[in-house]
Amino acid sequence: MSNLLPFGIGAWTFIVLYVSSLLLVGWAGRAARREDTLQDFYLGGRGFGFAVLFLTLYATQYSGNTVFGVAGATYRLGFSWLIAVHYMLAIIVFYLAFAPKLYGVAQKRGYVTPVDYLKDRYDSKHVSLLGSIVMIVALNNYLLAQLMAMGRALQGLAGPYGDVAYRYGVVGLALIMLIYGTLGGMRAIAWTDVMQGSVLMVGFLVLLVLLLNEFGPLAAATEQIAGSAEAFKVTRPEPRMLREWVSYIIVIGMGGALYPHAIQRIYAAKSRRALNLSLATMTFLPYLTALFAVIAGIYALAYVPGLEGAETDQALASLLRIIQEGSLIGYAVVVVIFSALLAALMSTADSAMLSISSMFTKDIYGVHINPEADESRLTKIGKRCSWIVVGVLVVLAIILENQASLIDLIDRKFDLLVQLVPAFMLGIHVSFLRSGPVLAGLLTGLTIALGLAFGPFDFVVAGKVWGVHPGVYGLLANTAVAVVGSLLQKPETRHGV
Amino acid sequence: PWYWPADDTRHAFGLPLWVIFTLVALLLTSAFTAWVFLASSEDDT
Repeated sequence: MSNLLPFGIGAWTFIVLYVSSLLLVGWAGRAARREDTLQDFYLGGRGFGFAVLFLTLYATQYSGNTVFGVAGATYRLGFSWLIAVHYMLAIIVFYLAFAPKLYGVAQKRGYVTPVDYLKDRYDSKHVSLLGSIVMIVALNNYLLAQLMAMGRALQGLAGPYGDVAYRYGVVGLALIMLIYGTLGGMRAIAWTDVMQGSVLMVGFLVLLVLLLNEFGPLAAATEQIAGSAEAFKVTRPEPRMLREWVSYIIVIGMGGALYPHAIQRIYAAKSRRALNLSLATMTFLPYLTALFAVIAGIYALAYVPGLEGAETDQALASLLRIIQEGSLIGYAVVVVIFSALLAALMSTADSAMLSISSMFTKDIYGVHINPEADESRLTKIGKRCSWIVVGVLVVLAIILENQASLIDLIDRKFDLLVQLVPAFMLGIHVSFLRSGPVLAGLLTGLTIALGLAFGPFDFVVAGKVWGVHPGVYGLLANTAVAVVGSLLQKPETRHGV
Repeated sequence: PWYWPADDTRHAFGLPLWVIFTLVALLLTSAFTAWVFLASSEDDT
């Protein structure tokens, strides 16, 4: 955001009022609670109808990366980055593979965390513990990235006071998120998601109208690129990029569908009809979000040429600055778009925070540390856990302020999450899958994915082997071990079904 | 768009033709997915 003009007092007042209003929603969420149970705190009492469920799924799925990351990648790669529209849609397609069935089982068995399913299906402490660790590590990376993005968003708007704004931004927004999140739990977070999802949707629509108004039709931008040195960015992707396309569909489509906070929203649906209607509507949202970000990237490529390397992530901010300088209305609308960015970041971060807290409390503390704890005690521990986790990550976000490359290095969350596919997506459909081979497959997949990602191999180029993510190779081996191992087990040694 | 000629420069509505084809196929995927979700809702009434 460093390319934007610094905001004035009016803009900051609007943003402070908007963010503060989230605290009122947190208080309302606390007032609406029915009982002091994990189900009420972490799943909103399983009472979300279509409107709340749809907007909380939407606000959670679309993060700050959807806005700026996709526009930046399009600037670098051109129309090939329609991949982003496809992988956001693939997440919903992969929900189809397990969400409706998981919802039915979760209602009957009273699941609260994703690991509750693993416990019930495989009856193995080792599978459950490893599943918890994979999900908690992946979500901590995700939450840290969102906190740092919040700081960066404010940093670029504070002129010479950028570093101070970064720190105050990370601490202030994390504090607000913690207060409403621990006051009202999932209910408060889902209700704030209704606000933030609405702001996000309006922000994207306003962005498209602004771009068309300021720069003219997309066809003119495409023609401009086709006549420049960047003409290759409008032609069909090269073979390596086509392989990456398939790899992204697998690793983000499957990994994104297994985000723990998304699975908990499946549990929280009031009815199967509300869940299916929400997911059916979600299938069309990539065109209102990811596609708009791709279009913004194309406009930037045509009319703000010359950005290179990390600068390309500022492609959208560069466009917004042109609009901001154009008129008072343009300036005001950029403030709305900035609010939408904050909404995208906070609505994703608060959901990750609550999910980490639920898994630590129920699956680790409640099983391995204090199995005698009652639900009221576990809920209190969960709230403390949120404060500790976010506190540690805020300190990390401040320490790592200028080390973006380090964040890229540890951000292998999809390579990790996709290793849970056999246990969840396959295990819910086929009865022959056993706990031992599933555990062996999970360990094999994680070893291959992390080994390829961090090992000193010359054949790993830009984090991929032959254009394919390490997580995909891990998943293939993982699935083979889980399936073949289960089939080879003697029937009398099979457990868990 | 693996089946599309690599050096193709044809356009429709001002956009590369492969982009139009890809977007139409994506919309078909969305429509089919929504239909499957809604149809399974009716099965579960």
